[in-house]
Amino acid sequence: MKGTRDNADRGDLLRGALEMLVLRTLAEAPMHGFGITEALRQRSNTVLTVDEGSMYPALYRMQRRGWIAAQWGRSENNRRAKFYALTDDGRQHLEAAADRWNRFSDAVSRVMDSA
Amino acid sequence: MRWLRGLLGRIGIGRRHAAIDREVQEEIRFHLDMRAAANVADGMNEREARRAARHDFGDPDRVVHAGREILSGAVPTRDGASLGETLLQDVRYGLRMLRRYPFATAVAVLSLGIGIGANTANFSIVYGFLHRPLPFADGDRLVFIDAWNPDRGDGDAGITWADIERIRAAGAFEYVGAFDERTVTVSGVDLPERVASASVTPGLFNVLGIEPQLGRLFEPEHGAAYGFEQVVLISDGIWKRMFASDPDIVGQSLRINDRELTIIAVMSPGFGFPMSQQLWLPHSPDDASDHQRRYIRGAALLAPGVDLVTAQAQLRTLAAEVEETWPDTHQGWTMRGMWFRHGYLDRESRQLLYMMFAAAGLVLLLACANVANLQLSRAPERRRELIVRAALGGSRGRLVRQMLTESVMLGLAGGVVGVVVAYVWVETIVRSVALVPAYWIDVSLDGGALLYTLGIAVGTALLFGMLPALRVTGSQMGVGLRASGRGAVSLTRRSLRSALVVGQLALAVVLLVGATLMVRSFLDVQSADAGFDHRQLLSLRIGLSGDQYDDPQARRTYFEQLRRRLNELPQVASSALTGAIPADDGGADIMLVPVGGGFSDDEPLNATAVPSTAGFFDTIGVEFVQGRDFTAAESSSGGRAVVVIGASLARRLWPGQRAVGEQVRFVASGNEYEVVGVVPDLQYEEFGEDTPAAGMQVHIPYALVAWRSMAVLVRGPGSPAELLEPVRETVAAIDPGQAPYDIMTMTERRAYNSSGERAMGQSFGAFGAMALVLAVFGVYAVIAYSVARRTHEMGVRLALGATAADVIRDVVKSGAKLTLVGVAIGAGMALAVTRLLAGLVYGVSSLEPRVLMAVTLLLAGAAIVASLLPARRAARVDPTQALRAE
Repeated sequence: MKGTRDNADRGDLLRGALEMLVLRTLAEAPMHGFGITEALRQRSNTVLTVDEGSMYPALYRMQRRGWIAAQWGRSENNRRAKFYALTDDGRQHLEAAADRWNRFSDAVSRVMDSA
Repeated sequence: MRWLRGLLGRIGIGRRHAAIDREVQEEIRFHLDMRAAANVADGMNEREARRAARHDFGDPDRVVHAGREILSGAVPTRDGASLGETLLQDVRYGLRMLRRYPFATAVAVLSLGIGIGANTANFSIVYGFLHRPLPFADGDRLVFIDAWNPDRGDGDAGITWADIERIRAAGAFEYVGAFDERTVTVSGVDLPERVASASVTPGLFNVLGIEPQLGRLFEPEHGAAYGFEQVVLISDGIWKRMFASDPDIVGQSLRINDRELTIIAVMSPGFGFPMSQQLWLPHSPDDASDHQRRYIRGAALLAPGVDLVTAQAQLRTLAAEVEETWPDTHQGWTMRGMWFRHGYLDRESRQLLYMMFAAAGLVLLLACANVANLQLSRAPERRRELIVRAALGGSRGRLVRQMLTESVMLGLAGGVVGVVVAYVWVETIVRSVALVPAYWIDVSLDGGALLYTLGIAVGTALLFGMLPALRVTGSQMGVGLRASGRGAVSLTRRSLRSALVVGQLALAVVLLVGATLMVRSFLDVQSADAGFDHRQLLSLRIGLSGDQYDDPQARRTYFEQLRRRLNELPQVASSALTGAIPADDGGADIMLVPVGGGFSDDEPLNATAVPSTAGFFDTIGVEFVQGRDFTAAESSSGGRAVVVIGASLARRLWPGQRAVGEQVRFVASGNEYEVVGVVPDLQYEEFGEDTPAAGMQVHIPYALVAWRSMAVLVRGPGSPAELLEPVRETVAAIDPGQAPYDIMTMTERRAYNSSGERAMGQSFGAFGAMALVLAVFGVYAVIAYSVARRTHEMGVRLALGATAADVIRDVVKSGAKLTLVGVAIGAGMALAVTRLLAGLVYGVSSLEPRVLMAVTLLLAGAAIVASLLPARRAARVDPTQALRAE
């Protein structure tokens, strides 16, 4: 039972990071799902290549929570596509998450540097 | 449960899933196309590019599935889930749980449906009779005023015009109107007929804000003394029936009591006043200072800011002043003011209605106990499941909410069943009451009743759901996880379940005792001996209308002629007239003393006097104890001053002596009469309404009083129905202007008069049956459950040599123990409740041991049979299997 719990926590950490990255990407402009994967891939110099399909459940979850809003629109090649945009709630969450992340990575770097 | 899925589909949940699926699929398609296009741009060929895109994406079905679950709110999104989302999740989850235990769910829904239905029905009855706002302007200030004389036991009497004037002057009321219920003869349409009507002060309907559908209401100058009215208001029913809804009705005339009156308005459909009357005549007194004739009732509006108690005090003060001014005639009289509806629904009726409501509440409690018990019996399984959920992060509050959601769903389903039960109940019981209710009584299940149903459905769900929810999610969840196998029934839970069953049994005893008494009261009223043979007897009434009957001699002639002509009919064995139909009417109150001793004029005996013609006793099949009947000459022309007296009066006046030949003196007139016969006592007044005076009976010749209204009793050798036509023809032949009314066989009249008791009997019979079923089921469920829990133990015992009989005896013993405790507590409670019933219900004086014994045995027997079923199952346990299950 304990193991399950830990796995769940680790999953949470990863999921939280993915969500933060997606929100950060959407903070610049509304985008469709494919656009988000492309942006993430390019900005991380293809270091962060998520399993593309698994990003969608994350998008749906954030949509349900009201962090992002979805709307059907036209893509750059004039196809029907679902665009996601950051909401005010999402923006607040992003700030809080970014803050937590920075403190976390600072702490990790300090520990790593001091070693 | 397939219907439920269909229902969900219809309200859009299924449709929503399909829409979500389509959107997600389109989104995936777009992604794959874009990725493939990008791959082509990177130099792959079309096929390679597509395969790579699908590979990078992963399993699209998983995404579709996740999309459906997340976007429809089926799975929690952790911290961000709104209340609405979790509610939807709880509902879906609850549906799954309820579907998993179809038997328990069905039993729970039915139990609740019965309990809620009984409540809803009785709510709408109590509300309809006692609380629904009157359909009059300012109905909440409308007061009914009458008079009574407690010393004389005179219940409901009218007030005088002088009283009305005094009340108007005194100031507690803003408006004081008056009315009098009367029955008039309407003729000239087809056959003459008697119609219930009311005389009202001309302004009353304007004050009550009543609008006619055609024409105008009375003007003040329309008011007239009886017989001098010029105009009439007719009901919608009369307009439709007698005038075929003629749109030009206003201004036409209607012949009422042999005078042409002008119709000035047609009232709205359904309207009746004060109850369900059909015609209204404008009334004003010929002498506004008349303080003698008590024939009108007041209908008055409380002045703004004055409460009923203040107004009542003022009425009493006014009555006391009158009593002081005319002590001879007004000794003991006082005036009563009460809310208008209470003028027609006395305290006892109201108490009975509330009692039915209370009984329905008990039935619901029984149902709740059943459902709580069912949920508790599933507790161990639920516990395991909940423990897993708690371990996965569900808080206790969340789990309690989850379980309560399930309860509320059960409650709502029970509510739906309850509405059906209530509808059937109201239709069969209330509508079977023969008494025409007042226009302002409306017991239909309306929005208010449905709202009430919703309220109790949710309320009871919380009541029966809270206990199991708190128990199951209790603090020892961790312990439960480890002991999640067999037999984790805590002692407290078992005793809680036992307590529920004991309570159920106790309530059931109370309800069954009440039901038995009510049903028996009804049967008693119907079969009570009225002192005569009511079979083959036709009864009807004639109230002579027309100026020619103002002369008493004309009335004597008319009725004597009618009697003789009826007796000449070949279909008639015997017929006679009487002023009061036994077991229906009461006679006139008089005071009398025996001539020559025993009683003084200062302390006379109260008795009831009933005028009749020769042949009355023969017609109703009563044999004389002593002496003889009136002769035709005595009853029609009053040649000799004679009376026939009842046996009780004879015993009272001349104990142990022969009464025939003695004389009595009527105190009011001073006249003396010779007793010529003694007959057995008859029942006057309806059963349950008799006064002490009604037992002391004096039969006087009709000629002495020459009343306008008399009842005709006709007995034939054959069925009374065959008498109807010849009797009608005879009446029409003598004077076509007279309308026989209130025509019923005597047997029908008995049933009619006991319809109130019948409704009560049916209601309580239903309560009793419900209580029995629910309680017995409760016992069954508890015993069956404990047997199921103890299968292993039974197996061991059987393996160790116990016989099947031993096991059965053991199980039944535990059932019997619960039963005895419950029944004993119930018996004590029943004693208290019966004391409440006594005096309210005909024939219920105190709790007879026989009733209690019978009920207790019935319930105990049923409970023990209920525990026998699981006991036999226990005895059939296969020891090897029970042990292997370990």
